Amino acid sequence: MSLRLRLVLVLIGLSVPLVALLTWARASLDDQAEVDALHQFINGRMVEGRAQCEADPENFPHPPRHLPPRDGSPGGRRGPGGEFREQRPPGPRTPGGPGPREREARPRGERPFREDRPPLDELLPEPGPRIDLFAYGPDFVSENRRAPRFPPTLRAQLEAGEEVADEKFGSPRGQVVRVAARMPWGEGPCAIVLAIRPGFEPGWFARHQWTSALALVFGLSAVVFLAAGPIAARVRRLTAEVQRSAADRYAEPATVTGRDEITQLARAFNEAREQLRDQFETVEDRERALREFVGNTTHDVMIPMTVLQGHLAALRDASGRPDPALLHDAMEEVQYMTSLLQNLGATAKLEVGERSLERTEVDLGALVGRVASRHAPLARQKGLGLEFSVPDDPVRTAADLTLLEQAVSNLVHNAVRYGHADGHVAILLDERHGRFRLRVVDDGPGIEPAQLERLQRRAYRGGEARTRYPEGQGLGLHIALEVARRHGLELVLQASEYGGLEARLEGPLHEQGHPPEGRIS
Amino acid sequence: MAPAPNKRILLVEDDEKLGRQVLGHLRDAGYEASWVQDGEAALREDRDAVSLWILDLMLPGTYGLDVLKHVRAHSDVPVLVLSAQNDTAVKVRALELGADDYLTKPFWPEELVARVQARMRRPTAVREDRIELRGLTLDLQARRLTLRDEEIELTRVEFDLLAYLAQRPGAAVQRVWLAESVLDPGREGTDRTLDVHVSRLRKKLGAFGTCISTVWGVGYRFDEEGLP
Repeated sequence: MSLRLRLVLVLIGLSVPLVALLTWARASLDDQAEVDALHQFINGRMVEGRAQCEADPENFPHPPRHLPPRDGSPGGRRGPGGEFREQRPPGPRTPGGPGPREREARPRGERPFREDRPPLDELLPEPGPRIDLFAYGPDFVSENRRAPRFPPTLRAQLEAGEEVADEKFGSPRGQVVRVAARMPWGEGPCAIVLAIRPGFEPGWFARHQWTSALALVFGLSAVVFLAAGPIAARVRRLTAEVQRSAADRYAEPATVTGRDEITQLARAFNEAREQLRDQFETVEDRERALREFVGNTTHDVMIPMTVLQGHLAALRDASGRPDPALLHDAMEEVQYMTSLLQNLGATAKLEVGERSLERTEVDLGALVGRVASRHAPLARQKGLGLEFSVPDDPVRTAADLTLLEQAVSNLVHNAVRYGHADGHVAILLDERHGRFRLRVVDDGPGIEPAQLERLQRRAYRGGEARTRYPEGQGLGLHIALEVARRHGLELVLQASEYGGLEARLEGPLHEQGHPPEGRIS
Repeated sequence: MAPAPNKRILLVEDDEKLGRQVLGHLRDAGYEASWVQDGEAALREDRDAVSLWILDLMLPGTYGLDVLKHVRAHSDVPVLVLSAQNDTAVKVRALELGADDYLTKPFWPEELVARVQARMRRPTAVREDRIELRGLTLDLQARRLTLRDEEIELTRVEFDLLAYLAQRPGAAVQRVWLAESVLDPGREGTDRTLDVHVSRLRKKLGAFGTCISTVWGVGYRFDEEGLP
C-alpha cells in the first residue's frame, strides 16, 4: 500500500467515527436544550397567565400581552384554529434555556420561577416556529375544549412524581417536542401546563449534517493525498538511489537533501554505506593477503620439493651405498616443507579466522617434549645437540594448543635449521611467581639487531615477513610473535649469552580448576 | 604400570603403507606390535593383552575418538593418538577423552619411537628412601652412597646434588634449580660454585662419574647409560 493511500485511509478511519460521535453528542445536547427552553417558556408564560387561566380556563390561553420581537414585529399571532401561538427560536440556540443575563441575575440553587426573572421576550428573543400551550387540571383534563387529550406518556411521567415531563417524536414535518410541567400551585384548572413545539423544517445544514461532515472528511482526505505527494516522491527517489547504489557495491551515496526525516534516513544509509565499504575493503585486503600467501607458500614449497626430487633422483642413480649427506638434506627439506605447511594453517587461523582461536588448558611440559621429539631427528643428523628441561610438576597455561605449539615449534625449528653443524639448542621451561617462562636458546648465527627490531614491530605482516626473509625464518618468527600477541603472552627475541638467539616466551599460569575463558580474539 | 612381558603394542591405522611402515619401526625398536585397520577390529581385540594403543583418528567405520572412549571406559592403558588433523578442537577432544599423547602427521619414525618409549618406560627403581642403579646405591635416609658395595664419602652438597639428579634419571635439570635446592643460600650462591661441586663429585664417583653429563644451555643430567 502506498504512503498516500495509507495516510488517507488512516484519516478516514479516524475521522468517520469521530464525526459520528460528535453528531450524536450535539443531537443529545440540542434535545435537552429544547426541553429546557420549553419548560422555561411555560414558567415564563404562567407568571402572568395564571390569573388569566384561572379566570377563564375555557378560553385559555387568551391572546397574551403583546410581546414584541427584536425586530419590532408582533411576537405572537393567532393560529388558524384560534388558539394562541407564541414564537420561540427553532432550536436551542442558547443551550440550557435561560440567556446569560438571566443566569447572572439568578442566585445559584433557586428555582427559575421568580418575580425578578427577565421578561419573556428576552428569554425567547428570536422569531421561530410556533409553540402551542394548553392548561389542564390536576386530573389531566382541560376545560378548554380545543385542548388535545393529555399525552399518556407525559401523564405517566408526571404521575411517577416528575415535576417536568417531556417526549419527542418524529413527524413528516420534523421532530415534535412536548413538555408538560406541574405548576407550583398544584390545583385549579391550570395546575398542569402542556407546551407543544410542532415539527418544523430544519435548515439545510441540519438536514445535511451527515453529508456535509462526510464531504469534509473526503475533502480533507483529498488535501492529505495531494500534500503527501512530494513526500512520497522523495521517498521514491531515495529508494531508487539506494537500489542504484546497492547494484554498484554501494559506490554512490544517497543525495536526498533537506531537513526532514527522509534526509535523516538518507544520512543513515550513507553512514551504513561507509561501514559496508570499509568492511568490503577489509575482506578484500584479507582475501588478497591470503591469496598472496598461498601463492608464495606454494612457491616456497616447490623449491624444497625440487631439491628433494633431485636428492631422490641422485639416490636412485647412486651405485652402491647411498650418500648419507644426501639423505640428511632430503630429510631437512621434508621437515622444512612440513613446517611451511603448518605455518600456512596457522596463518589462515590468525589472519582469516581471527575469532576461532580456542583457549584450553595446555600442559607446557608435554608441549615442550613433543616439540623437542619432533625436531630431534633433524638435530641428530645435523650433529646438533637439542636438549630440553621441564620442571617435575606440570606447568599449565590457557592457550590455543595448536597455535602455541606451532609458535614454540617455529622457534625451535629456526634454531635447529639455522644452527651450526656442531651447535646446540636448549628448550628450558620453568615457572616463577605465577608465571611460566619458556626459553629457546641456541649458539647459532643469531639475527641482526636491526632485523630483530623490525620483526618485533606489531604492524609487520606475514607477507612482508616472508618477502624480507625468503628462507622462511621471518615467517616462523612472525607467526610466533603474532600467536604470543593474541594470547597476551610476552615473546622477547634477543641475543643469547652463547652468541646465538634467545627467544623468551612468558605468560601467566593457568590455575587448575578454573576453566579457560573460551575463545580469545 | 609395568607391562607384563606377554603384552604388546596395538596399532590401529587404516592406511596400508603407513601401517606397515609404523609396524616395522616398532618391531625394529624391539617392541612386540600388532596392527588392525579399522575401529571394529580394534574393539574386538583382547584389551588386557595390550600395553599401549597407537590410534589413528580418521578410521573407516568406528571413528577413532569412539574407539578411544571405549578403551578408556575399560582401562588406563596408555593411548597415543595419531592424527592428520592439526586442529585444536580434535586434539583437545582426544586429550579430554583420556589420550595420553598425540602425534600429528607427518612424523619421523624416531619421533614415534621416542614417544612410545616415553610412555612405555619402565619406572626406574626409585623409591622414597633408596635409589639402586647398576651398582650405584643411594640410601637417602642414611645419606650414604655405595658404588659396588664400596661406600663413598660425600659432602652434604655433593650428596644432595647426586640425589637430586639420580631421582630424575634421563631428565636435564636446570642449573638454577640445582643451585636453589642444593647450595646453601647463605654462603654459596653462584652457578660456578655448582660446577665446582659437580666436578668434585665426578672425581669421587670415579668410573661412575660419567653418569653425570653436562647438558648444554641447561645444566646436568643423570644418565643411566653412563654407568659402567
